[in-house]
Amino acid sequence: MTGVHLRNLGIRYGQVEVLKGIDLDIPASEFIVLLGPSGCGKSTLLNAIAGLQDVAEGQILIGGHDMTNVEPKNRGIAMVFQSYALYPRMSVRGNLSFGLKVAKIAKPEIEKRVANVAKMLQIEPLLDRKPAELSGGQRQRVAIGRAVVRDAGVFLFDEPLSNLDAQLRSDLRVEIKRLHQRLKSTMVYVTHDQIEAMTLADRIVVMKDRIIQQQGPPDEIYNRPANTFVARFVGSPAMNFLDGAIGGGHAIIDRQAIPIAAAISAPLSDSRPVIVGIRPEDMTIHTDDSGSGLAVEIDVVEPMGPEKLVWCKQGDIGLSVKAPSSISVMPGDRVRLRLAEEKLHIFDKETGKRI
Amino acid sequence: MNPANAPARRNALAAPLSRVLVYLLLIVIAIVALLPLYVMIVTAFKSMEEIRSGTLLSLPRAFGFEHWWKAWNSACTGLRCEGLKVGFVNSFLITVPSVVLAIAAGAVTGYALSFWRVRFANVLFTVMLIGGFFPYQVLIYPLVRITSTVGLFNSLAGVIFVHVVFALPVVTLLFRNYFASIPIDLFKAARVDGAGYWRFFFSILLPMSVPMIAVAGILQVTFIWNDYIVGLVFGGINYAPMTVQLNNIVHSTYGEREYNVEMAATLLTSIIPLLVYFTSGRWFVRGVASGAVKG
Repeated sequence: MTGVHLRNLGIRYGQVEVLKGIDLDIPASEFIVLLGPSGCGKSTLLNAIAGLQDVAEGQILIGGHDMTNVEPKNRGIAMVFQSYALYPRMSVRGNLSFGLKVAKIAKPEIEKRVANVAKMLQIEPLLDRKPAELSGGQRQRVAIGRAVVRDAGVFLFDEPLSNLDAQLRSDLRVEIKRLHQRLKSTMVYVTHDQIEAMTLADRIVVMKDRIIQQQGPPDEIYNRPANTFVARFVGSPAMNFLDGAIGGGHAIIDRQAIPIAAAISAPLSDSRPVIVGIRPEDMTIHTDDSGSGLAVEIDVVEPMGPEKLVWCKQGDIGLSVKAPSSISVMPGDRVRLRLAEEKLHIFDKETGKRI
Repeated sequence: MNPANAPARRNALAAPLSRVLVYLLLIVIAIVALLPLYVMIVTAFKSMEEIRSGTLLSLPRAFGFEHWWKAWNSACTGLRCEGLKVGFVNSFLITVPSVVLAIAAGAVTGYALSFWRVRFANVLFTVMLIGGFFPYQVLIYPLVRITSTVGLFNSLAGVIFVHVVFALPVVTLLFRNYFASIPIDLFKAARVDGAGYWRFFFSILLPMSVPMIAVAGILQVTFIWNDYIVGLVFGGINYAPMTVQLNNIVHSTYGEREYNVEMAATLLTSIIPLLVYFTSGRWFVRGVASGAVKG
């Protein structure tokens, strides 16, 4: 089994420093997702692992061997691209077997491997078709097949589902997860879609502005985001943020004292300006006039089936709340929001870092 | 007027009228363009007697093929009287290798400039394009010196070399821009699959480039077949192309001018480019359009 280790990796385009000092350890068989907005450097990092991007400094180890200056074909990797990148003049069979032919593998062996992969991915009926005759989902299946057939220790995925519609995307997401369970290969998956990251990853690496912001298992990223960027980027709808200050173990927001669980408030000093984050599902709407909680006005109500998404206004700040579908509120209603005190996220106002 | 059905009425009435005008205009332009060709064709079949009578536009009274045969087989070009067939063979010997080599060199150069981030690729490409903008009469003398220094002057290889040099900028431009429209992921996928420089070029890129090869082929076949000056200067007597021989037939200054033979010779000379255009127009349009669409 093959692990991937990046040591102090730096990449430059001419004089422009694109990535600098990247350290990342990917144990064998792990499914790791590089998550971030476009331009954060995640694809560049993936290309560097693949050997398609020159590295200015640092080291890339794959399976314990220094692969920093090794040709892509000799790195023991396989790659799947957003645009599928199937060879247009070759049949599906030709696409699957091309890499094996280049590697001069014996013909019966090629046929056996292609047949196995075609069966595994249910693309057997498509083997003699050209890529132009396939749908988007079928094309990406073939592209995944072309990666699997290489029998590589490491799979690299570059936003493989971004060109597909929603239904196909979730189908193929499950397919990729099943593939990982079956092959137990190391997988490095680049995406800007936090749902893909949450559902697929053993570990998520969140990147922004070419810097790794946080890495950890999905529930840690979700429940303990390291800064306001990670908090906002992961989760749908995004976490709500309120400006406030600390006072006597409470968060003072809009002159109202919001209680904070003791475990969270312990390291906080009084009157420190902070950003209070709370996820939509960690607030409850109360129509009674008991007086506690944040006073807001209902703006828009979106019924989602099992629940309702309620958008509220607190001054000019918008807040989203997930409420049970049984709730009956109307736009314009004045209600109170109670924040689950143990689910509050407190960030430094200056740096945006979690306290 | 009821505004709701005004557009419909206007279409019903105005469309035929404007269409008639368009067709009328097209027919007039076609006549103007084709009239010289018509005169050439009928003259080539007429006897000299009939030509002298001055009936330029009338159909020939009898179709005579002997002028065609003479133009092909025994018309005098300078001192030799072997007709155009020698030039036809020469033009073939010049055109086929020139076109093949120009496309091969242009495709490989365009490939190197687009997919392999060659150092100074843009500078190289710019220099090449500037070279393409020079009127090539300016370059004749330096090229004569170069070819005579390396011993290619007055030879078939010399003519082919000069044609390839002149074709390289435009063919490279065609291929480079076509390749630039191909997604880079395809190149990356092939690299991961282990394809090197030539493997990617021959196994993946070239099969995708058939439309562009057709375009470059059509352009170069017509250009090189129709060339006069390069063949005249670099081919010497032994490798004078058909165009040079045609000129020698038409511009002979002694005796009676045999218009029917001259017209037949001209038509014979232009038959290859005409055939290329008629049979491959479809490919030409497809290839020119395919550069614009990703695929």
